[in-house]
Amino acid sequence: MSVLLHALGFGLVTSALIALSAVALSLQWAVSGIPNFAHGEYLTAGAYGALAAQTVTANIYLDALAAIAAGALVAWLSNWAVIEPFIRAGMQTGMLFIVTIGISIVLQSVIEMIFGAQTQTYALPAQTLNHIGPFLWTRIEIYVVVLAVTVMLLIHLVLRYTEFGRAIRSIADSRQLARACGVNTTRVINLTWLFAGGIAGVAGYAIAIAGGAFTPTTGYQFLLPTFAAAVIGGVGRPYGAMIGAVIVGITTELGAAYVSAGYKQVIAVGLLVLVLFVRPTGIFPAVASGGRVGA
Amino acid sequence: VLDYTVNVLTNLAIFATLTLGLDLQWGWGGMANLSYFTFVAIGAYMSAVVTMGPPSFVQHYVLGFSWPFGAGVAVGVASAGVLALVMGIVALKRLRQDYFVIVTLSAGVIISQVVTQTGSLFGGAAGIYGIPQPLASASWLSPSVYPRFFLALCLVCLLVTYLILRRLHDSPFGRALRAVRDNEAAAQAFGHDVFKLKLKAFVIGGMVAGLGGALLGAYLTTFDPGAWALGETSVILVAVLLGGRGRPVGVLLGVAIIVGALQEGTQFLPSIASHPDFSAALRMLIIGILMIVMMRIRPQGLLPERPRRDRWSPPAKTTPRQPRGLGEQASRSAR
Repeated sequence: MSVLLHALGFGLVTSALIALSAVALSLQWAVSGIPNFAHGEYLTAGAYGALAAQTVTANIYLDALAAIAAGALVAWLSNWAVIEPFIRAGMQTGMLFIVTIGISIVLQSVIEMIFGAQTQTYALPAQTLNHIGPFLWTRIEIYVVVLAVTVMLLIHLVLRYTEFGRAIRSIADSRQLARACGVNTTRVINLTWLFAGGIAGVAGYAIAIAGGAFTPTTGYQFLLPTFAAAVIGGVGRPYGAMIGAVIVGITTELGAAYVSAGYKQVIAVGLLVLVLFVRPTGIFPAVASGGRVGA
Repeated sequence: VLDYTVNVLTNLAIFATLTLGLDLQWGWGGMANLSYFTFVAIGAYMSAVVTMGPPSFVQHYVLGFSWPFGAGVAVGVASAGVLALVMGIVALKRLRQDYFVIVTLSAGVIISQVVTQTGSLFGGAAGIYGIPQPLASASWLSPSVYPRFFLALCLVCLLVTYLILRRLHDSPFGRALRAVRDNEAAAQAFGHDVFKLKLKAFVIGGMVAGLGGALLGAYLTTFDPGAWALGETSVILVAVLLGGRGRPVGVLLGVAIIVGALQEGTQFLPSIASHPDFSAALRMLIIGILMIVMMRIRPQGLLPERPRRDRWSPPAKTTPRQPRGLGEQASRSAR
């Protein structure tokens, strides 16, 4: 029983991390229509952005702002400089995916050239274990879960109640229709990349503090679990991605507890492949109102 | 200097063989296989474990038949081919192109993780070492001449692969395959079995990867999961892209530039003491930039595929003018 609870506790923390990352991927996938291979590097950028900020302030809450800025900047830049020109030139999705691999390689090597390939850690306050309900979590793990839930709520508010959120949803349905209806698509797409990049930055920062240490490939290792969550939830549906993240997070940690910790990645990727074959539309395709983003 | 040249050339010959296989899958068949290096690895592992002696207590692996090198190569090629057949049947049947890419990537990750975690299979994370080289103990081959012999062997393999693929390229199979790549619906309408053509290409490409893998394993004499990340596949991917997809000569040029000039050339860069990973990162950076820039300015590669002219139509003296409506439409959508 305690093994199960322990694994569930871990699973929820992992879910929180994947949820942050997957929602960002999902938003960006919805407006640009491409699975972005470079997404993992936005996470890494967030982690390193916070690391750079630590030389200025040791306050980990303030460092989160630097993570947001770094993720947003890198994501916006990769869209503005590379992806959007390719889309306008009419390149097909399969080839664009290869282009995003190129972006991923470029970003990862730039980060490695600046910070080196060695393992980095944040200076964190001492850790204590707390019982929260049935789970045993460290202070940092509580912080990560609270952070994730807060960000999810914020995203919900933005998508549901702002003009920007409505514009995102309309572009996700059809870029041409949205433009015809007077939505300034270029501006909204740019803003979405900034927004999604910022969330990815937070995700990278959360991954770095929850894991304790990170390298230039940390974000990349989260790429396939993120894809798994986004695809399970239905491509381009942020709310589905949140549920997908919980499924992926808990399954991998249960697998780690009962099978072997070495198979975490295999389980997440296996889920991804399974869903692509069985239900490529995701397991929550019929959202009540039929909207692609939001409900 | 001669030894160094021989080494570089051997490396080049092996990578050229590998790249020809990926070009068959991606360049002719339109299947961007991100797990290509998985087939290389399977070829290397399988040919290694059948040519090596029984496993000792210092390293663990399966089989260990002490078979001769030729049999090892055959096993490596066959097992990579079987893996490609299985993966192809599953992935090509019903997936969209972008999902196909994700699935191949995932399959590569799963296989590499399983190999890493299962120590008894191919030595786990530590890998296997002491892979026997063909005729290494033959008395008429002195150690100083041996690298040259191995280079000759690799060149022969490359030449044979090249000639076979050259023939395939102009064969009905090759032409049908490229027709499928260019317009799947049209090719289908002309009676081609798209799935079968793609599967065939996927398997042949996988077998070429197996052959290259067997050579690579014997050349390095060691193989472990670390030698097998996405980075390796992207190097080959860029080589295909740079040279020109769908044309074997172009692919050879691409390999010469990427592996020859970039990999070997950057080894002479002065290393920065405080930053040991700098030149490796720089090399990857150049590869990534090349990937993006080539896609943007010259997606057809340096030596693009030449469209074959219909034998029966008179040779066109001037380039045919596009119908007006089409051209306008194209320029408008580009804006």
